[in-house]
Amino acid sequence: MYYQPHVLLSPLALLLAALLTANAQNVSTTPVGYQSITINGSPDGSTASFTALSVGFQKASEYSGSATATPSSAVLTDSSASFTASAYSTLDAAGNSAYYVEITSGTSAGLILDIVANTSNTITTGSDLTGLVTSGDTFAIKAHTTLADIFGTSNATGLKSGGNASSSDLIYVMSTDGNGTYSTYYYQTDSLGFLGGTGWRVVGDNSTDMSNVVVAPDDGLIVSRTASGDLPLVVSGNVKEVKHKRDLPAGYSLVAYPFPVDVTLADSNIYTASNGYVSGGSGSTSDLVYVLSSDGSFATYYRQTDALGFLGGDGWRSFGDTNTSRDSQVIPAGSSLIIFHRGSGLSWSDELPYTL
Amino acid sequence: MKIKNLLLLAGMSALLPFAAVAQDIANIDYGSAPALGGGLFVGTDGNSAESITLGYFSGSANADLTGWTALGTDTSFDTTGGFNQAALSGADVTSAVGKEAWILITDASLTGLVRANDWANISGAAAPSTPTTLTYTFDSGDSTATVTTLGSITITDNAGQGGSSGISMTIAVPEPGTYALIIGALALVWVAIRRR
Repeated sequence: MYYQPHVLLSPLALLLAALLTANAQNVSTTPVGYQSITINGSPDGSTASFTALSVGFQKASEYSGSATATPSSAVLTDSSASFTASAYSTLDAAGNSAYYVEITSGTSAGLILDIVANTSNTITTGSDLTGLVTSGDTFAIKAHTTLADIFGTSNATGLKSGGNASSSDLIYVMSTDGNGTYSTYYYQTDSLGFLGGTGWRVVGDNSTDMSNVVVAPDDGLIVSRTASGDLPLVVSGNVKEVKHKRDLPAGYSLVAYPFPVDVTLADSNIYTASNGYVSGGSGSTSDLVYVLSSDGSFATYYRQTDALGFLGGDGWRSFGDTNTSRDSQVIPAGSSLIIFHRGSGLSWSDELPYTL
Repeated sequence: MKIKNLLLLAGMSALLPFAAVAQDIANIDYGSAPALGGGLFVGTDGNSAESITLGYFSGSANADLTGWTALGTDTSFDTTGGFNQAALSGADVTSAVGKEAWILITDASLTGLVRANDWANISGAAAPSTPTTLTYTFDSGDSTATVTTLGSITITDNAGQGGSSGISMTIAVPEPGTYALIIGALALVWVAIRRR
């Protein structure tokens, strides 16, 4: 077990989070918390150890309101708003939206949509909202968490840092298009003065500051550490107040269970009979859930449907063992996993696992 | 000269972290496809064979059939009629990458090899990429025309699970010529099952 979750929804957590995150200071009604995660150290100082982690918290809302018209495009209108034009259209250094809309009521409650533009009373998202939002649905605008938020602007976490990626610990962020490609980030220390500067960098570009690269609340990260010694990482913020809802494309997605609590495969709702999850008689005909171990190996799970009656039964299974139920396999809080979807879309949603 | 050596050493050191994780890993389903028409592995007595083994030949382009290496063996048949849904999780396929996969059927000290012609060659991936998922199963679309055999294996069309599609693969006493060929190939190298 690589994670040591200590989620605390209490006055103590409120105090700690207030100290740790400036954003939380403005919010008095939203529960906040923190969580300790261990980044696995290399066993010998050179062999990479891996940690798949997530940040199960969000930043405080920049704005909360409701749609005053039913969208027929990607534009969400709130006639009572008075935004500064383009205030939420900022992009990070990788070209991702720095702000997002979280739908907080209605049929799409929990859905997170990146913001690409805004006027004084409209928000344009990266996806068409037709059929997703209706007049009266409530929403919140929030800023994404960044690499600097998680690991520190100056690498306060203490990841191994050198003059290039090869001599540094690495942070992998998977693309969201299903292709399974990674952008690889590291903290560069330019001790010679001509290596591209000191700071967060991406493999392939040693001079652009990547500290503001965003990590969505339901995205995961993989840290590859080649230095000895585990590293403690404390993440904190607001606890998610609405259900989880995310549509996954065909292919690979590195995702997080976006609540700061442990969950089992059976309770995760990754599989339901009607959410698009492909459940077959074996691992090679089903959607797969990969859980990364520190040595770089993956435990692979899938939800089996036994159509013939002698294949090992229905339920979650481990690849290579068709008979033993893995329904109770725990996804630890603060971890992340990779879902491989074989179909045309997996709509993953889950109700709040706690009462606020 | 000294500076040049130091720079060379520094360059080599920088590559070490990436060289440290280079194992190719795969999750592999093999044997019978888990559906009607899934292939059946039948022994000389008409019941299930004793085992099926997934492996490959390391010989050049399989031309000389040398270097048989087993990746995994399964003896768990779901039916007495030879249905076997076998799988390997996290198999180290580093040395097998690019090779053709074969299934070795064993029964009563007899052996035979079979593969479907449309099987992809063996591949793998190292973290943070997920293991490659490989499928080496016989399904309802297979027939005598879509498989290749070594040794005396009788392929019967439309005889897979359910009896209306797919194939059954029945191990039989081989004729002297083919028996010598298969024994010769397998006797050269038998590498123990390698699993992570």
